[in-house]
Amino acid sequence: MLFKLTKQPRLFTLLSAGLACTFAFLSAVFTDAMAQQSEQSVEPITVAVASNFIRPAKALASEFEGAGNTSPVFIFGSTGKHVAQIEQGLAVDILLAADKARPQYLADKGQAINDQRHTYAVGRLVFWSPGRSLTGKSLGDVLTPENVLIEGTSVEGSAKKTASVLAMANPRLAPYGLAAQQVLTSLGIEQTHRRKYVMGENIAQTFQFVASGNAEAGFVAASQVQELPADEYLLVPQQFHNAIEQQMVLLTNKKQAKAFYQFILSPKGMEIIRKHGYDTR
Amino acid sequence: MIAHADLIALATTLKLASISTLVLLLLCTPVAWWLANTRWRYKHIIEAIVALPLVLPPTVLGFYLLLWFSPQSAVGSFYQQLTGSTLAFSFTGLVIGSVIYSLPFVLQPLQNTFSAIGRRPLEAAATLGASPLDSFFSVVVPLAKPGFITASALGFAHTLGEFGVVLMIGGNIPGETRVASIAIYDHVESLQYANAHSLALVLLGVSFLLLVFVYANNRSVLVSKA
Amino acid sequence: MSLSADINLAQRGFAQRFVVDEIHQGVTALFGPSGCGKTSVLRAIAGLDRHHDSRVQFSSQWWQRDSAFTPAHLRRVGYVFQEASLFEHLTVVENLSYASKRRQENSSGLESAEIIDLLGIETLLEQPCATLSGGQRQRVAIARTLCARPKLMLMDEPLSALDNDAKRRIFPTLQLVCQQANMPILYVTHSLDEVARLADYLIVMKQGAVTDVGSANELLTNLMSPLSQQANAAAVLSGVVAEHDDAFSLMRISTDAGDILVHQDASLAVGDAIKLKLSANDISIALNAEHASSILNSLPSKITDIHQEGESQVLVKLNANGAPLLARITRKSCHKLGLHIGQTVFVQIKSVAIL
Repeated sequence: MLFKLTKQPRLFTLLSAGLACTFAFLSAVFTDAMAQQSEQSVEPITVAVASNFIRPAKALASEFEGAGNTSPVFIFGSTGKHVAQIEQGLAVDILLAADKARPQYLADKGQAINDQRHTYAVGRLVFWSPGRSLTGKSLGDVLTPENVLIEGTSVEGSAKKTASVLAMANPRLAPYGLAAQQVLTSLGIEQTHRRKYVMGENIAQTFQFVASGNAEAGFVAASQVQELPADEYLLVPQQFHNAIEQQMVLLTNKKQAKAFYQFILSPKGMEIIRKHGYDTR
Repeated sequence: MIAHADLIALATTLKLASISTLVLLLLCTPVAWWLANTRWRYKHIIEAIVALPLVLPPTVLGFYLLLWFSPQSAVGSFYQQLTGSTLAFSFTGLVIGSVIYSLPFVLQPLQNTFSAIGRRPLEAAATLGASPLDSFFSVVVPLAKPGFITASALGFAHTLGEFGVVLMIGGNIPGETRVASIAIYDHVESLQYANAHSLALVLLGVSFLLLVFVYANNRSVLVSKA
Repeated sequence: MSLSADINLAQRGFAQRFVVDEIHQGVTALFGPSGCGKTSVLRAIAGLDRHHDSRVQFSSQWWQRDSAFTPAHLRRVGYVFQEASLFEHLTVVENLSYASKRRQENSSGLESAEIIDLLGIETLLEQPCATLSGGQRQRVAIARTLCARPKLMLMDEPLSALDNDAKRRIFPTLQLVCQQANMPILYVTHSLDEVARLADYLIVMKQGAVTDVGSANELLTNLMSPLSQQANAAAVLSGVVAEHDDAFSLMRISTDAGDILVHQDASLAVGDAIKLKLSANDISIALNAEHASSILNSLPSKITDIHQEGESQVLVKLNANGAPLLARITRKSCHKLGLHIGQTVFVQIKSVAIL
């Protein structure tokens, strides 16, 4: 009994010392992590971005961050999905939409702060046909009411058995699709059913259809073909379709949100956006 | 209540599911029979391969099919030489996609059924003078009827709900590759929720009835065996 | 019609070959302990399994030789499995017609109606298989096999899955089938009782190889064979009902060994062939015919062999007018009577079972 009495307190001391050390270590780690986090982002912001604008958005963010600001958290996806989610309570500070109709829709519902809604980019449509040279051709040469003409021969004619497949985005869902449809109407070839039009759910999927070779040509975004040989695509003149205006809305009052919004509209921001194949206002 | 375009999408879906199920039954019956009876050492590798569509995300599967269907690939160019058209954006392409996508749902119930039947009924039939083909149709097929019904219903229902694969290889062509699930997606994306609801309800109803049928069928199998 | 087989059971882990020659018409029992390869032999003969380096010949046809192999459905071998293996999706009569539809043209044998009558399954015909009892299922399975009119019948312990009651009831039917089926029957069993009752010939198997072949009775009473050393060792005598003694309710059976009186069985008529089982434990030995005994049956016999069993017993093999018999007596009696090989004695039969 005596032995036990003398032994037990020592064991207890050892144990509590160990626990204290562990606790001290853990709290140090936690405090450090918390300090770092609060230092890094005084005010984290979330930005919903249309799929076609992923690369310029990342470039804008790194520039913004470099100036000592917060690092915006991006949610990429289709604007339709974003709007539905925002209406159901998804916390988003800024929406960079693929069109202007849906920012308008949110503003009409009173969701935009101070009615802050601006066109941040104007998309340019290109007619893209990989592996064929379109140098010296105009859109009217290539697309006639009868044929899709490439290199002076129709696609139907170039290989007898080849069905011509033309890809575009779904006009109901994607502004680039709507623009493509307007181009076809302007050229008077919308009603030609001898060709097969295939529709991607968004402009990224449309690009995939053509890039994989399943469609021989298609209407895609200028921002997507930037790094490709210039003779593979034709920039569609703006008179053939309504401008593909991409608007953004400010949805909260956060300081950093306002700062990022303003940064996008700044000359520096506009320059980055133009570098990625978009026009600006 | 349901727009004409949506009715066409529904009809396309039903056609796709029916043809895919038929193709799957023809394809899976011999494979399932072989898997159920072979003593081959490496059969589990084949079993793993045919189960892959269960774990592969449909859009990934669709993406690989898109690459595979391309006239620049061997398969795509061979098909184009043969038929003069491409596999992508065609009903045939969707059938191929659906068959791969729904393969485990047809194969596994059939394999389980065949395993449960075993070789004995066939051996009995052989000693009575029935050739292997004769005994397969006169003994195995009738005994496996519940398995065939379950496999067909599961394959059909699974194809009804197919979305990711069609999204990738379909191209949204009305009457050919625009199926109900794609139409629902379009409605949701363009904020036409009412249209989406009614179409989704039809799809849900059909699938639910099919599944009720499957489980009732399985129950009767259990009861008759008891 | 005769069957010869030389089967290499190496795949089953046995070092020796199974070799038999000329299995003829009648019932040949394939006897041996569980796991000795009986079923493997049967399956190889039926063509259900293929063993390399094996030969199977039936009459003039080679079913297996070198690389040639006749598949099961072309061999016309009837196979009765341990479990009935009926087609569960068909009724009884559909199971039968499945077989009769596939029988060979110009095949000869029993008509379906005769088979149904023989197996006593008239009342079951329209029933689905799922509703049958174990004994009924095995009756239908045997009937189905007969309906296919096989050239050779293989039975793999057809009674082993049945309870004693069902076994007892199906036995007379099985004996009738064996008598009327005009073909060689190979019958796998590990029951001496079934061998004694059914078999004309016997093949004893051990570890995949044949250890003894011969007439069933010869082997059953051979003192060197493991069969005679079993507790229920017995001799079997074939006989004919010679006379009914209604006054005492007895029957006189005329056998090779001499006349034997047994309890009367009204279902047997004079002239019917029957088998009698004489258990070694029920036979005692006397030096002369004692008339003043309660024992009715006493036959003169000659001692052909004596084999000591343990410390206190001996098994004596005797020859009664050419028929082998076994008697199990104490060593003390053997010593007291001075029994020796070649001596003529009288066997006293305490009881006889009609098989």
